[in-house]
Amino acid sequence: MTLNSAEWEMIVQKGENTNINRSVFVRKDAGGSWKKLKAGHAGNYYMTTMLRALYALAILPDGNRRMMQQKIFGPCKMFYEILDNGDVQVDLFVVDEALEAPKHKAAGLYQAKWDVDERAWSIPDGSRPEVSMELSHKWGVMAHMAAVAGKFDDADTAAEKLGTHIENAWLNNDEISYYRQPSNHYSLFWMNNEFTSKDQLDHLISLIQMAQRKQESLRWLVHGEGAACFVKALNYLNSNPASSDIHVAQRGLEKQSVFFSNPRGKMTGENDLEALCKKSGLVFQGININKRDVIHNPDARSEAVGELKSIGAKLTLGGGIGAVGLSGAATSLDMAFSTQSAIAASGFLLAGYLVVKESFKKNSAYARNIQGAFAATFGKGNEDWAA
Amino acid sequence: MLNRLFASRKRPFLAGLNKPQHIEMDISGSKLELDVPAHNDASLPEQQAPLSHFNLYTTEGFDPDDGTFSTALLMGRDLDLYAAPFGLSSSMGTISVKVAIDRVDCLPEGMTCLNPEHFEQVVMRFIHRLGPGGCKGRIGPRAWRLLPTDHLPWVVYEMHRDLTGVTEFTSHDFTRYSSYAVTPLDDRYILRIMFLNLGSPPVEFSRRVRDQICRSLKLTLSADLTRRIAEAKNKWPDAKISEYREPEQWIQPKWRNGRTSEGEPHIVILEAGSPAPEFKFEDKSNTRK
Repeated sequence: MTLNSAEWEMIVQKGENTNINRSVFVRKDAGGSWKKLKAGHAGNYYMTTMLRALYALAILPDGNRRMMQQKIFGPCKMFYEILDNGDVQVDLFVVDEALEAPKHKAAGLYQAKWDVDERAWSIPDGSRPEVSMELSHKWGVMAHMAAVAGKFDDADTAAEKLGTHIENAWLNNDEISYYRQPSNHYSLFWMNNEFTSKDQLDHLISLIQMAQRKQESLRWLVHGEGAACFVKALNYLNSNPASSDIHVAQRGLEKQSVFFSNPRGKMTGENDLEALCKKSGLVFQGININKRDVIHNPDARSEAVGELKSIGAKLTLGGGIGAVGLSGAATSLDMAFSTQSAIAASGFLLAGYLVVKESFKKNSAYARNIQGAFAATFGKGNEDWAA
Repeated sequence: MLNRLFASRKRPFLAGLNKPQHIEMDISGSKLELDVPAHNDASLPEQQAPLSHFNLYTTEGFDPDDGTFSTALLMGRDLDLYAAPFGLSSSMGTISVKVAIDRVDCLPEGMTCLNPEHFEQVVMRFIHRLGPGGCKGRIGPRAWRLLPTDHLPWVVYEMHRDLTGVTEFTSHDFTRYSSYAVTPLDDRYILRIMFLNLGSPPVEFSRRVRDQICRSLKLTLSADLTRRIAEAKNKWPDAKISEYREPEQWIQPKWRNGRTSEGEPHIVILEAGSPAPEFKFEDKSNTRK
């Protein structure tokens, strides 16, 4: 694959200094903006950060070629491909302040309690992360409840929404009010949207093992991106059994059951999850897949392509995004964004490849499809870039 | 559609804000009306569809029954906000709008919520539950004000997070406040509309939504209630609710989650916070006779 110079423009040149071993290309229509940024970044924190992110691509170690990859650098998220000659083509450049915005609650294990006054599951202000779950705190006589959170704006939103997910997944309608009691809580494993963190994977593994050792009943609600981490934890347990005798190794795990809610990530299709639970000795309770969850869930993906096409048609965006890939989506979105006055007025458009984004969560079908890649709005930083 | 097209972080899009649903509830003969946008969280159902009828004088639906406040939910829905055109982004925050009735079991004999002074004490007692009383760390009441009404007072106030010790504020720290509009409904009952902000809806926007819904609030009192309000007014002609209030300077307790397996309670208080305000009243009716 070679770059068509009519479409792509080099911003970082290989050999610019001794460390730089790749040239970095952006789309031609964004080239002018990037050049301006490169020339005028000095003294501007935002511009400098963005430029540093782009340079981070120029010093990448070798990786898979011809595949869309993603790198996060500070508030910048870049989707790129390494070309056959080793150069880098940036398909999408997203600035998302949420990526580095400090959140009030650190990653960890929290008790989400029923707030009787506000009629909501919540983490009381002033809560600190716990090391372990109160496994003896059971819902009824059944089991302790625990949720592994996927992507949410913050831990408090996760606490509120996942409480309802638990109710929907595990309780009958007539049981719900029984468990909405001020002394009731569930354990919330909050990863602060860092789903690949090794520390948190270790923590999750230890939580599963601790419940196993104590032979305590435990019901998991594993949500969204949290599923990928849960899968890794189970894979770890399978490849590092506590005993060479599989029956001994899995003893107690049958007391843990899992319900997956809109799982996302590698190996999170229904069949994969069911097989993995079976292999690990946990009870696969069920799965709830939002049919709109396009790219992230393999089961939903095939169903959604048709829907996407029709959405694409409505917006005159063209291209079946799921099938074509992000690069095509970027072109389409460029058209969508250029109709938006905010961007036109900014006068400093990185031509569709800059999307300023403040928060992710899942929602519209279209957003799911390109989740984490595109979004939203021109945050306050944009005013500075326009200068 | 245009609103959504031009949505931004400062001016998010909230579906149905210009065409809210008109909701009517019959609460033991009194009629509550309000206009609220439809529930629009795609991932979860409405917490409580608006009840068309509710009987105050039943124990059903109220909990917990611990002698303080017991609450029943008449309506609960989430309004998700979007900051991008075409729904390209995920939601940037949620305003949960809930209608609840609180039965004030802790109200001493001789006091009634129909007396504005007593009602104010009840509200303050409830506010304490959201702060030191319930280990929830909220501070308030902020932005206390009265809605213009003919009969019973409606008070609107905000509860904010305790940001003591937070050195670097983010906008996120400020967006998650909650608001309440409260009015008496009977001697021992208050009606409470909640506006709970999750995520990061801009403060100006969440206030605007709250104020719009508050302007639509209409409570038509039952004949019985009207009569008893007149009686209370007769008995305490000078009783008034404060038009202004500053946030309470309560000390928040230090606490941790209890190890219930070792016999500890669910919450272990390490350092006590400010106690709940005592109810105070004198039976002025005697002195006037």
